Amino acid sequence: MKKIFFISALLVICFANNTKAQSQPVTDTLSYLNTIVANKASYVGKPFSVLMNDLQIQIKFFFPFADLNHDKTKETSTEFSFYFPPTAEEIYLTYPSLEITWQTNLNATQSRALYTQYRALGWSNEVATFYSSGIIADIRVVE
Amino acid sequence: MGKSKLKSSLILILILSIFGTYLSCKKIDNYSSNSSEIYIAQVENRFLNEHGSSDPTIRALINFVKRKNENNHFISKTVERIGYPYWDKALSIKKQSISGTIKKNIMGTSNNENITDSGKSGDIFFIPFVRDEQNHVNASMVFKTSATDTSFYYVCDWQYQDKPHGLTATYTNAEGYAVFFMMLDNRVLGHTDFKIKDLGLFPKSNSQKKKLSFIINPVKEKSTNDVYYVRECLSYYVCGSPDYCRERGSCDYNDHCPSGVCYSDEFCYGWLEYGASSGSGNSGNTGSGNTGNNSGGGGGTTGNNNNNTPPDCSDPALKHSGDCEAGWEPETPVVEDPCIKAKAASVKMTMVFEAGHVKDRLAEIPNLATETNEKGFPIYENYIINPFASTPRLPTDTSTNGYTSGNNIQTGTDSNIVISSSVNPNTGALAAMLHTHPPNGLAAQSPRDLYELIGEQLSNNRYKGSFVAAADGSKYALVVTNLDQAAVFYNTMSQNLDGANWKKGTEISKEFKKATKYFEDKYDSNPNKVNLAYEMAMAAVLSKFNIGVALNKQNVDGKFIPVVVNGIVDPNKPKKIIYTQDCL
Repeated sequence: MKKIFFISALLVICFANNTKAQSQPVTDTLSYLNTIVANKASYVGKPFSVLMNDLQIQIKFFFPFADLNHDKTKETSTEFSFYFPPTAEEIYLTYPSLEITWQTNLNATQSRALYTQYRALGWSNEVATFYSSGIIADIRVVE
Repeated sequence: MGKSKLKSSLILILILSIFGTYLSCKKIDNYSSNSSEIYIAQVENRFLNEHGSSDPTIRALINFVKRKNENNHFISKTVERIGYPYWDKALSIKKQSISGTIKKNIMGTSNNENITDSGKSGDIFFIPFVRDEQNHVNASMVFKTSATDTSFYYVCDWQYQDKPHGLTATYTNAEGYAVFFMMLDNRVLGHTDFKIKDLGLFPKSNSQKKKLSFIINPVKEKSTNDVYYVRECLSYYVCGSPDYCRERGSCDYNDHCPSGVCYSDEFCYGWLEYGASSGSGNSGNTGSGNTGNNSGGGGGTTGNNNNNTPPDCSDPALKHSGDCEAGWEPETPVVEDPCIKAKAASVKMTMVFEAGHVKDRLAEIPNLATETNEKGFPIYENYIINPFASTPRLPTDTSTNGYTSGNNIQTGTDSNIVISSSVNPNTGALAAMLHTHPPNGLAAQSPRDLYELIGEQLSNNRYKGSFVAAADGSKYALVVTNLDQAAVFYNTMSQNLDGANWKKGTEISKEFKKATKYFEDKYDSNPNKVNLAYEMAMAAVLSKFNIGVALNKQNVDGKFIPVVVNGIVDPNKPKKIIYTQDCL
C-alpha cells in the first residue's frame, strides 16, 4: 500500500511539473532567452542536445557563422531562431535569437549544405542531428 | 679540370652574367616606360572626360586642350599640380551680341567696378579644378576666346598672396581674388561658409577670427539702358566673431555682430557693355594680339608659362614669397557625396593596377586558385623631383611618372602576410600593396587588412590603397576616401579587432553578422554566396560606421567599381534594415 502511494505521489508530482511547463507557454521570447543565458553555466561544456531538449520553444531557423576570415570552412558559431523567415526580407524577424559559440569549430561546408537543402523548411531532424553533438562554449542572445 | 679550362669557364660565366644583367635591365626599362605611358594616358583620359559638359562651347574647349596636349602632354603635370577640371561647372562670361558695342569684362563690387583686361574682347571661361584628396577649388583654367583666337592660362588660389589688400573686394586685389575662388568653390562643391585663415585678408574686419559667408545665390542683373550690364553678383558678409554670433544662435552681421567687426559686401563679375551711342573712345573688338594663332597658355595675368602647365608655387622665377596655400578654407564642409569619392577612388585604383602592371606580376604567382599561403608584393609610384626644388622637398613637389610592381613576390602564412618594401624616396614611394587570399579564406579584405590600410595611409600620404587577389578570381581594392573619418576609426583598433577578425560582441561585429546573414540568405542559390555576402556585409559596415574607406571590386572589363552598401531602417518596420547597393 505504501509502495502504491509513493508511486502515485511521484506520478502526481511529475504530472504537476508537466502541467506547469505546458500551462505557462513562452510568451516573451527575449525574456525567456535571457533566462537561458543567465543559466548558461548549465550548458557550457555540454552537447547542444542538452540545451535543445530543455528549450521550451521550438527552433525554427538556424544560420551558421564562420567568423575566421582566413578559414571559412570552420563554423565558429550558430544562430538559432524561433521564427521561420520565408525570404531574406523577413530575416529581421528571426531576432531575438540564440547564438551558440562552439568549443570545437564545426564543419561550415556541411552546415551550409544543410542550410541550402532545408532552407524551405528552416529546421529539420537532420539539422538537429548535425548540431546535437556540438559542444557549447558560450551562449548569448542576439536582438 | 685544367687551369686554362677553368679560366675559359669563368670568362663564359662572366659574359653570360653581363648578358643576363643587360637583358633584365632592358626588361625593367621597357616595363617602366610602358607604365609611364599607361599612367599618362589614363590621367589624360580622366582629365578630358570626367565631369564632362554637354555645352558645345565647352566641348570645343576640351577638344582644343586635347589637341594642344598631343604636342607636349602637359595634362599629367597639370593634374599633379592642381587636380582635375570640372568642365560641367565652367563659369562662362560671354559678351552680348550687340553690334557696335564696346565690351569690357568687369570684376569687382557694384560700387567700385574694377575693369580688367580693358579693351580686350571675347568670351571668358573659368574651369574650376579640385585635387582628388581635397574638397575645395584650388585653381582655375581661364580660356579667352574670340572669333579668331583661343588661349588659356591658369590662376591658382595661393596667388592671392601676390596681390595688394583692399578694403573692398575687387578682382585685382587679394580680397576679390579670394572671393572669386570661394565663388567657384560654391559653384562646384556648394560651400557657403569659409574660415579666413589669413587674418590679413579682409582688413576691414579687424577681428582675430574671420569668417566669410555668402548671403544669397548669384543673381543676374540686366539693364536695357545705354549702359548694358550682364553680370552676376554675390553678396557676402565677413564676420569677425563667428563664436560671438553663434552663441546668439546666428551669425547674421546685421543683427548680432558689432560694426567694424562684421560687414557686408558684394562681388560682381560679368560684362559691362556700352551702347553704341554712348561710346567710350574705344572701338570694337581689339582681340588679344594673338589673332589667328590658337596658342594656349599665352596671355593672362599671372603664372603663365609657355608649356601650358599651371604655375609652380616653388618656381623661383615667379618670385612668390608666401606659402602655397589658400588663406581660406570651407568652414563647414557640405555633406560629401560618398559615391563621387568612391568612384574617384576606384578610377585611381584601376589606374594603379593597370599602369603598375599588377596583373602581370600577379600572373607570376603559380596556382593562385589553390595556393594555401598568402602571397604579396608592393607597388611603387615613380616620380621625378621637381626641378625647382632646391633641397629635398615634400612629396607634393613631385610629379608621378607611372607605377611599378615590386619584383619580389613574398610569402606569408595561411592567414597573414607582412609585405616589405624598399624604395628610394627621391624617385618613388610605396603606392599600394597586393596580397592574395587562399581558397579557404574569405575573398575580400579582412578587418585587419582594413586597419592596416588606414595605418599605412596615415603614415604615407602617397599611399593609394590595398589590393587583394582572391583564390576565387575576384580582385578587390580598399581605399581611404575620407582620411579624417578613417583616422577616427583607426583609434578603435584595439576594441574592434581580434586577430584578423571583428571582435565578438562589438557593435561592428553585430552589424556585420546581421548583414552577412541577410546577404548569405539572399544569395543562397549562388555557389559563391559566402564570398559575395562577405563583401556586401563589409561594404555595409564601412558605410554604417562612417569609416571613410571604400571597397572596390574589379569587373569583367578590368575596372574597379565601388561596392557601396547602405542600410536604412524601414520606416514602417523599425527593426528591419533595408540594404541597398549604391553608386552603381
